[in-house]
Amino acid sequence: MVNRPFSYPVAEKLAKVFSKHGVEYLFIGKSGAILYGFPDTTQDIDLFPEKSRKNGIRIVAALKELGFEIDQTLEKAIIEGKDFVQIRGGPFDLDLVFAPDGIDSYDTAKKNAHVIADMFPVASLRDIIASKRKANRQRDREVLDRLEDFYHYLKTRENSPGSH
Amino acid sequence: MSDMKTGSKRAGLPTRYVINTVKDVNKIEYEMSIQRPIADRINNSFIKTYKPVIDDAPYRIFSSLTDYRSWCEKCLPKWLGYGK
Repeated sequence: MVNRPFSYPVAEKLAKVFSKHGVEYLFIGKSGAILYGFPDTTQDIDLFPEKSRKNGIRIVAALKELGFEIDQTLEKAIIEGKDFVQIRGGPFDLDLVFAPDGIDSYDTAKKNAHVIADMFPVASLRDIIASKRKANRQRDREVLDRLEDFYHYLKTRENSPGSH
Repeated sequence: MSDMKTGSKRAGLPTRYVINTVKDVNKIEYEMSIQRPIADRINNSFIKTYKPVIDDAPYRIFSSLTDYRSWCEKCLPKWLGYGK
């Protein structure tokens, strides 16, 4: 298996290409938390795209430009917005989660989201935590307490005098 | 844990801080991570190791998360942590 680490240049390219194609999406999961500064590691990128045919077509075009090989079956699934699409054959590991646990709708999540470094749209930490809590897998439970602790640290930091 | 450790001189961090609990250590770790540039956060945090089964197909499609969870329970080694 070839190693395909997700590095900053790759992340920057993803953001630029998705923006160019007008893709509506948010980072979620641990990859989203890491963009906020959560000190942990992960392997894949979890994206929560808006579920619409138009957005699906844009995602396919963007992924092809990023070097993903998208055959007809995969293209159809993305355009139809199948709830969970796990892609391992591309330049980096990517999960498209069109209906994440614990999040009511894309529109609500988008309202609560933040853009990190003027480039990366990320679901709110509250939504990321809610999603992990609802999923309740072993790997989610292992990180939840620390994620909650990090969230409270960030809130305290934002509210402290002289914070920025 | 030790009573007092000399801290980092990184901007925003106290030069000395008290470490009595795991939470104290966590706070220092959080602050240092938040202060890292976004490029460092990404380059330090995304790693790639082989995951059996998951990495053995170019893609998988699930119509619902329930289907995905069932597949994880049935097909993935428990130690990967994708089960309940």
